[in-house]
Amino acid sequence: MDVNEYTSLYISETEEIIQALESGMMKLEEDSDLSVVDELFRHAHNLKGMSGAMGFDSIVQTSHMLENILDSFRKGDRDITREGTDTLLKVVDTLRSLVSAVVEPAGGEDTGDLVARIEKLLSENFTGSGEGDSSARHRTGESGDSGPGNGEKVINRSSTCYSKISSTRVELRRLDELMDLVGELIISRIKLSNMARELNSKALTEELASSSRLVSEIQKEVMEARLVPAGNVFQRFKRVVRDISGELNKKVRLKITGPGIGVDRTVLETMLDPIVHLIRNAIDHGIETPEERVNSGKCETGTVEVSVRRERNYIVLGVSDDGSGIDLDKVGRPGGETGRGISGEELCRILAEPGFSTREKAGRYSGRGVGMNVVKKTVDSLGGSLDVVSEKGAGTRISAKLPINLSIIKAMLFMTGDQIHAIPAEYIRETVRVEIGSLKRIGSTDVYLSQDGPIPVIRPWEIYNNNIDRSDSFQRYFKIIVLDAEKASGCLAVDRILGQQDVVIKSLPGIIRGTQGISGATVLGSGKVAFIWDPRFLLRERNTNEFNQEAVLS
Amino acid sequence: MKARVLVVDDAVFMRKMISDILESSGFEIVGEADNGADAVEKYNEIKPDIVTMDIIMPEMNGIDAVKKIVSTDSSARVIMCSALGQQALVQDALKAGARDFLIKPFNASRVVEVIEKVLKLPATA
Repeated sequence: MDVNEYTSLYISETEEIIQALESGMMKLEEDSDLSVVDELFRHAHNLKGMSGAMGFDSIVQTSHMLENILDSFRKGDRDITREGTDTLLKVVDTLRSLVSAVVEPAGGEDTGDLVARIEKLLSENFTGSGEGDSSARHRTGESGDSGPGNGEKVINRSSTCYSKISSTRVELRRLDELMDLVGELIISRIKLSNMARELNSKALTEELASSSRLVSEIQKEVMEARLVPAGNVFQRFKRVVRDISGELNKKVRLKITGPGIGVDRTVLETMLDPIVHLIRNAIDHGIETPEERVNSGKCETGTVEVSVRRERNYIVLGVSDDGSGIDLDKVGRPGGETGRGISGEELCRILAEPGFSTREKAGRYSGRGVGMNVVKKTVDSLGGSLDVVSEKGAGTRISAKLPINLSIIKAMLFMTGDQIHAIPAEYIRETVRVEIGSLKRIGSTDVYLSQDGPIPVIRPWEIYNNNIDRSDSFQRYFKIIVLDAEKASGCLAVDRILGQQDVVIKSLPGIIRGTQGISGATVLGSGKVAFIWDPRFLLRERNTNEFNQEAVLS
Repeated sequence: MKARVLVVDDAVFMRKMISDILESSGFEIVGEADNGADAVEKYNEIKPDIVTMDIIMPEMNGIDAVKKIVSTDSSARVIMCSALGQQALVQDALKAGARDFLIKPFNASRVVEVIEKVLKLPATA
């Protein structure tokens, strides 16, 4: 049976159509261009045709109603009004639920209810569409006689035309599975290399090297396949901007840059809500009212820009506005002084504090001081970092730098005592062998004198209070790993450095999940587990000198 | 010899469906196009025996595409695919030089019947 194949093709194409209907209707609102109406009509028409072939009568019926309304726009029988497009957008929303209800009848809403809701919307808001309704029902009645029965027969036909299609749609679940398997493959590869080393077999080592290359290639391909163009998802922000700016009586234009750039689907999905939040903030706090804008010599319409760009192994997602900027006078430092001259990093941390808001009163869309905290947490959980640049009167830009891949990273493995640990390679500036007497003491802190200046030394056991007396365990020399994160530096004193390799991140089991400073764990070739440290936490702790006594790992 | 077919429709779903029907009935799909302009170009390049043509498409609609195709090749055999309620458009398409039409949703035996009938028609209408 090929029904599934048709169904998944139907779902993905319908999704595109509904998206196109939505953005087209918003375009219609900006200027009532008839070519946009034509385009909308075509989409509604395709939806009808495809649904007819699938035997989904309720969708045929509703898309037919939509066609009638659009047709009356086209013929000039009806004017295109804001109220009209408002209704149509609501119809599109309902249509979206209808499609999922039809495709997955279990758990979804009742299709009859949804159709009734659409009919009600249309008949209440478009006079004369009642007539359209009955003719729609009449027509589907007609096609109902020959439609579904034959449709099924059609679907049963075998398919051989893939050879002519250069791309195919793959279920995302499969790509996720593939990614997991690649992770396992990498672990197994590392185990094999260890065995080869023990066996001291040159032939085996060589063969493994070439298989390693292949595994890396597969990893890269799977990663690329998981990327989806950011623009696919960003289209829906248009609706967010439209709704919020309408509500707040502000004029706002959405600019999207880099829509073609591929972003990991999980990253994109996780960041969706945070971005919507940032857009809300930008419109509510950032963009001024049209009068205020004109008075300060700006264009009446404000701009919110959502941008994506790729920076090596990172994706930078940004939301910026050309509004009033963050009022630094209202951003007090924890110490009580006003916030002039604070760094973006610091600003970010303050903005993200729970309950922080420059607003005296919370509005409908923002001002409760919860959102930025959630944004920061989400970005942190993805292993990314957040930055804010704001200039009073000129606007604000908030950007999130996120790893392109979430499950496999390059890490440096090192040992303290008999334990192996890992630290993401991206934070490492260098590794140095140091003579024990060469460290200097400033105040109560040991520092390493690098070429760029003194860097405080972090001893892991100070943070994780291992209760081991390590004072004499060093030989004459020991190794330090110099780390840079969030514009702070520090160096980690370790016993041995084992080298860099790809590690597969596994999330921590429940009981130790959320342990600060540990971002995950990885299985080593030997089968042992190594924790992956979060350098940002180490440096932060080092700077505030508050060691987390609870986070004891033995 | 297998008849060579060019399938024109802006929906992937519809192209797949009609291609499946035709291939399982022994036709060869030699090309696909998702708009009228592309259809005209592909027609001239591939010279298929028969074309199935959707009417409502972006860039160039199916009727204009038929006109273009027939103006360069008067023996072209184009079959229009339309939905219910587009009778007026189908009339226009037939005037423009289309040989016959199919109504969506497709009924496999009807599709094959119409195509075979059109293939047997004399070269010029």
